[in-house]
Amino acid sequence: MRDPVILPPRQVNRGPEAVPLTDLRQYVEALRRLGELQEIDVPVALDLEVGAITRRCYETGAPAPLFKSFSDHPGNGFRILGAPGGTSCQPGLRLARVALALGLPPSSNGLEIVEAIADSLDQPAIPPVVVADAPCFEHVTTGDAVDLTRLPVPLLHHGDGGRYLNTWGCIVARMPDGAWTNWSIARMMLVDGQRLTGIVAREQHVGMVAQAWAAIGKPMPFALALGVEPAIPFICGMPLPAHVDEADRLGALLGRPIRTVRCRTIDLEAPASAEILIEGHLHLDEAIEEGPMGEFAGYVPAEPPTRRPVYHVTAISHRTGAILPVVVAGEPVEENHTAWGIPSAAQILHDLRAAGLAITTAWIPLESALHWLVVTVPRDWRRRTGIEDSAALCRRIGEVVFAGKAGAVIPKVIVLNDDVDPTNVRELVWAFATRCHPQLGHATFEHIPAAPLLAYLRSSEKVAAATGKIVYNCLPPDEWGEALPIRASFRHGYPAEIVARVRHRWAAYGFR
Amino acid sequence: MSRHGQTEREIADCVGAIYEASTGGGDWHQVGDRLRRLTNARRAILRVPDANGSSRNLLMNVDEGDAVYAAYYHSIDPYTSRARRDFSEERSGHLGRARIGAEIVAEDAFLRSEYYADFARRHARRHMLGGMVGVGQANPIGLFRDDTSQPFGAHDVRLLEILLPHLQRALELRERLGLVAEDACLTRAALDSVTVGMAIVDAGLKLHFLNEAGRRHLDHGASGLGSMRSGPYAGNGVYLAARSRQDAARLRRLIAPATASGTGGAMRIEGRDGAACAVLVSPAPAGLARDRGGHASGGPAEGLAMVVLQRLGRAVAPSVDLLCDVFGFSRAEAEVAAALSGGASAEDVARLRAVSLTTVRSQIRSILGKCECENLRDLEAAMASLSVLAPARP
Ligand SMILES: Cc1cc2nc3c(=O)[nH]c(=O)nc-3n(C[C@H](O)[C@H](O)[C@H](O)COP(=O)(O)O)c2cc1C
Ligand SMILES: [Mn+2]
Repeated sequence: MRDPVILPPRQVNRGPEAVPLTDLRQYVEALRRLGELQEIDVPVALDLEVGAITRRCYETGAPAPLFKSFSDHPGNGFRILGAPGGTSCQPGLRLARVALALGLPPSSNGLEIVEAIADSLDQPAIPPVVVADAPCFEHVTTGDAVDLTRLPVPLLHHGDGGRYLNTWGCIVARMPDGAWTNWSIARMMLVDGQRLTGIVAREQHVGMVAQAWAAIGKPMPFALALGVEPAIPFICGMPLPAHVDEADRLGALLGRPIRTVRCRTIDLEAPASAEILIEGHLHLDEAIEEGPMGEFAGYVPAEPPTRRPVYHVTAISHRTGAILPVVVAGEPVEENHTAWGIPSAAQILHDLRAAGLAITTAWIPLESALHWLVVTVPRDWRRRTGIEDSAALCRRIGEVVFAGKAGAVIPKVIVLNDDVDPTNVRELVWAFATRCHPQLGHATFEHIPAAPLLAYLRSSEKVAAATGKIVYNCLPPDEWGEALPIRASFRHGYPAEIVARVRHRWAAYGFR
Repeated sequence: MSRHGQTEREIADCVGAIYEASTGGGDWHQVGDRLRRLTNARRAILRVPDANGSSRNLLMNVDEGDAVYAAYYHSIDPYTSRARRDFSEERSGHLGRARIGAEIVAEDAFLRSEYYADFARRHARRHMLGGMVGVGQANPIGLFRDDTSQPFGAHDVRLLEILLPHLQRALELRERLGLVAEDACLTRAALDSVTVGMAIVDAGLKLHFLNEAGRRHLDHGASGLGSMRSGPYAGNGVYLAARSRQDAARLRRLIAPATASGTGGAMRIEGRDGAACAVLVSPAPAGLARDRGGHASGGPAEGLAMVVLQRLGRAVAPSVDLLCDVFGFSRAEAEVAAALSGGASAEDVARLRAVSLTTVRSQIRSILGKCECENLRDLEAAMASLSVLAPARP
């Protein structure tokens, strides 16, 4: 009999395998050893074929494809790694890529990963160390010699407004006073040999830093580190609070400082592990058409391109045979769901606990494309929180979740007892369907800030950047107290001896 | 906290101590301490027969007075001989009734007696408040003040009368549980023979033990309380549950502190048939909490509470006298309070008593002030717990 055991913090075993993977090539080798890498020797087209193959890998749980040559591009020795943080169909290894990237055992489940990240938020910061040189400086081009089109930049979805160079890279941005260095992921589309454009949202930290530079009348220096050590994209996708350096938090999570290196043309340090390092300035006052592109919600927006700011590139450095990782956003599960969703759940878990809400776990079901957050609570939540009724608990959870940067994205929260494992979609669907009264006990929130990328928003809501949100109350009626429904399942519905006997004799019955 | 609120709390604690002692967990001397504090008495005596044929005071350590009493003065104790006679003649008339000394033996006769002159005067037993409780045999209980104090009054009588039924039940329990011999080991199963419903629960209201009477009570469909099997696993146990949300919340608020820091209390729960159930909550006696036969596993004892359940028949309001005593109400206020807690509105009360609504309103203000209640709901709760503490006499 297995109760939903959540490993207590710090007990997450980093495993004997835990030789730190400090660059992308070590990660690729680790994937190969696990059977999670597929080398593609035949030439493939950058035009849609790379995207289509990678999509099919996500959807089937196939190994991550490593593309080596391109039928519609000279390639110049560059390679592409698709689905670097996708999920696997290998039994027990669903989140192996995520776990491996974060230095956890490949068999870790979602809740263990969330717990490890949430726990690291209470650990002291470990700031990065600056090293003298980096492999990416093997080949450096600056000034007029800069040519982004030498890189294999794919057209990812049919209907995309352009080719996307950045889908998994780390954007480094530092406040003019140097007090805060932010690392984040936001897509970047190729404009020409020396220019990129992309989403620079106001509520995102890259947008905040860019605004600070614009306020003193200067473009924002940026570095884009592509093909970095595998943990970095996960901290870049994590909605940490403003003024927190992602590099410090990643150090705390991995228990070692991240190595950075000085850029060549701007006053910034970037991850030293980069396969490809792009430097330049972001001009908020210049705009060019960007998008559309297939998005994390699972759709290619039908809208026309949007005018967005321009990144001017001043240097390109890369290793020989550099690997460009590529995310093909869309229907779950892809990296938005693993590298944005999982760290978001960890941040929310931490925030809820900090608010004194005794919750068991928080999980953003990968299949929900960040539209659902599931919060599970122990049966004795009343005694632990001092809150008497479940509707009040749901309201409180909503207040805390929706107030944070991570929760600002999430429109729907599902509150369940912790006998349900929210990472098990079958169990989750059953529990949500059967425990949620359509009318009673939910906490609704009117007109609060929302990410404009939520799939179902009406255009007025997108303009207002605000919408209604809900916390679904799936807890038993309050008069039940701490009693929970009895589950009619093999695991729950029989005495422990019977369960053990049936398991033990399974083969003897003739099953295999 | 007002004196009245204080008294109510002290009564509840005393009731808790009584059950605790009777089921082997606590100590009868604590009951003695609480009784003395409540009634401002110097000595408290509850004599019970012991194994070697003589009797012994459950409530206090032996003092010199007890020694000389046992040696001689018991034989000329005018109260005891009188009480024994009364008790054997008309048991039900005396059981549960409290008397002051002067009601039993005339003052002048008492003051002239050898018992007073040579014994009671010297050993702080000038004034007496007494009663009878017992199983099979009358056991006198007496509270005593010395001659520098005031005699006991009607207020003290009523206080003791609130407690006597509990003491009576406690003695029955003690006998049934075989705790007469001090080292008797208590098992929860022994509680099955008890006629009052008894449950042991944890702070989450999970039932760790329920006796037969309790089971019958909770299975009664119309009762405001029930039991509920809980998951997620089929073997996850059974919980004590109230049928209404409000009662469930009150019950939790009553039980949680009893499992943690050890203050008990009481409430009443109305059933669908209008019959009420008295719920008395106290920390679980150590003997029961530790029972090896129960579900409680090893390791540090988790906090448990004992819940005593008793059907009260149709709802009864506490008596007007009791309300006057405990809250310091005037008779008129007590009558108004009783009517209000019986569900009447201020308008109803004005009509019934043929007074103006303004009068009733000002009485309500005064009532709320005296019992330190915020509103009529609080008043209702306070009255409910009082009527639970002082169950109607059989
Ligand atoms: C693969 C991937 C792609 C993403 N693309 C974008 C994007 O194009 N625009 C955006 O605003 N956020 C995007 N995000 C989400 C941000 O990375 C995330 O909100 C993060 O918190 C932003 O960093 P910040 O909190 O430092 O602003 C993406 C995340 C991932 C994992
Ligand atoms: Mn940030």
